[in-house]
Amino acid sequence: MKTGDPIVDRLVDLIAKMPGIGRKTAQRLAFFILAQPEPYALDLSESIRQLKENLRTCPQCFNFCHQELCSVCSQTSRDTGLMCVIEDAMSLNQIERTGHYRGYYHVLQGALSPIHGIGPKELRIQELLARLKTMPVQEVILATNPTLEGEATAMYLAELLGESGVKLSRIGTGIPMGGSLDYVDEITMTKALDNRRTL
Amino acid sequence: MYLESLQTHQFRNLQDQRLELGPGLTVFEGANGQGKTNVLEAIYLLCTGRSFRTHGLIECCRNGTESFSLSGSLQWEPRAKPLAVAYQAGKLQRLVYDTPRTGLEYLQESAIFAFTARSKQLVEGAPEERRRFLDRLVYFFEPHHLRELKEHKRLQQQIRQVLIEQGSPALLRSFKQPYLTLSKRIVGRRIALIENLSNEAQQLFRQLFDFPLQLQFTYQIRNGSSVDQYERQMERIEARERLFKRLMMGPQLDDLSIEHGGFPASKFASSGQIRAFVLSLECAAMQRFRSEKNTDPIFIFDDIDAELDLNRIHQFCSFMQSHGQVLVSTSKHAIIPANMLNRAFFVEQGATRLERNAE
Ligand SMILES: [Zn+2]
Repeated sequence: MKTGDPIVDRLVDLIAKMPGIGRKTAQRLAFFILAQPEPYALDLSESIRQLKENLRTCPQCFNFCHQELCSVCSQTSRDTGLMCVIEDAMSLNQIERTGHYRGYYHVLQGALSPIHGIGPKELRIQELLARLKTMPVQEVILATNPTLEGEATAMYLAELLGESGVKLSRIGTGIPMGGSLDYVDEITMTKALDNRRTL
Repeated sequence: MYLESLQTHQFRNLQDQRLELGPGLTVFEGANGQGKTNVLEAIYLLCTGRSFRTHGLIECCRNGTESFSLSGSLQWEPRAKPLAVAYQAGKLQRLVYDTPRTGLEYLQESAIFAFTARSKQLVEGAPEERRRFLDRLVYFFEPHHLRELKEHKRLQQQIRQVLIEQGSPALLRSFKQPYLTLSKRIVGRRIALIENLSNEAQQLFRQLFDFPLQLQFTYQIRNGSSVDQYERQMERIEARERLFKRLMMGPQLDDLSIEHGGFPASKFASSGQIRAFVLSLECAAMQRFRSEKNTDPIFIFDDIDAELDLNRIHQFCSFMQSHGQVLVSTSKHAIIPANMLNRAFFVEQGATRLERNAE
């Protein structure tokens, strides 16, 4: 399904690499950009460039950041005994918004999904294990999304961390099954954190 | 519950028309190829968002068009709600009170059972047909069932991939655990349904169709024996699954055996008996629906005179006339006694004409 135009096809190829976007949608987006006045396209390309130039991945937790460390890791007042494992930076913002959680985070950058080629090696699991060795963590909260893949990821980590002696918990009820943490309101989120269960 | 009206637009060979419908027994008469099955299909599609004949809804568009729409009003105490489906650009939109619904949401807006040419596949078809039939019936009583089947399917895909890639046992377990839980729940519901309906179906089979032999439905768990043993059996088969790189236990592999007088019905029953089997099971399900939900589901019966003799048709109709809205089609004129009928329509070249209205 090529348009035949090399410039359009190149953009379509790039957009189609994004999660949840097929070639058909990518084409529609490409033609949308083409149809907009010029400033829009320039703005878009510039902001994408800025994103990569000014933002980076935090070397500790894999959240995004502007400085050396992210806004959470650079705080020294947080509880080093608590580690919350999440799929993406959006979940992190969601939990931070509640103001309820005082520990640190670890962003896995995804969830296990073999059909999408995402196995344990594709996630930041080794980095998590390394951090747990150097930090005095007492409890790991597994806060992956309550989807099939998120649950499987939590289960995988629970088994992996099972023998380390650290306390494990999974965020509790309140979050609709099949949902994503990204769309959960603050009250539900607070409840989910409170209701976390030991694994 | 019953459908009060049906408006069709560019649907198969049907004229764009509005039909007033009502509770009780309604018959659509007409020669073959005139459009009676199309009317029933339109009703089913309006109530479920699915066709009982095809997965390619483009077939439902009138020749030379690529869209169709259906609308109507469904009476489900205490009030009537407007339903509509519109097919355009390869997609079906489902609306309740003009508000779009997903496929699964829309299914819950009504309850309709159908007996069509395809229903015989329950006995004659592949195991997949029997699983689909069971799941459709389970769904009427457990609305979560279809969503869970969808999740289960996704887990199957994930596990298949892990097996193909020979992923670590830990990775396999993290998908296998929820797979086991869900499999057990799905199988448990199917078995409960069969156990629940079996006696009732048996009784109806004798009462309505006067067949003397015993009817036996048995759920068969592939590579397993019972739900209680499910974990143990699934664990035992895992080594083989890893070796052959595919799942060997799960609801997607199970079957339903149907025996008549101790012999497999698919080999030893007549066509008429097979129709009677399936009808008995559907009627048993409808009876249970009525007692649980306090309303009768709508029932569609395409081609009522095929393979059933006059006596059995009469017996069946007299039983069904007290069951809410029943819509049947036939190519034979006056096959159903007028005193049982609420309405009769005559269908010719896509036009539907009201012949008789008892109200
Ligand atoms: Zn950080």
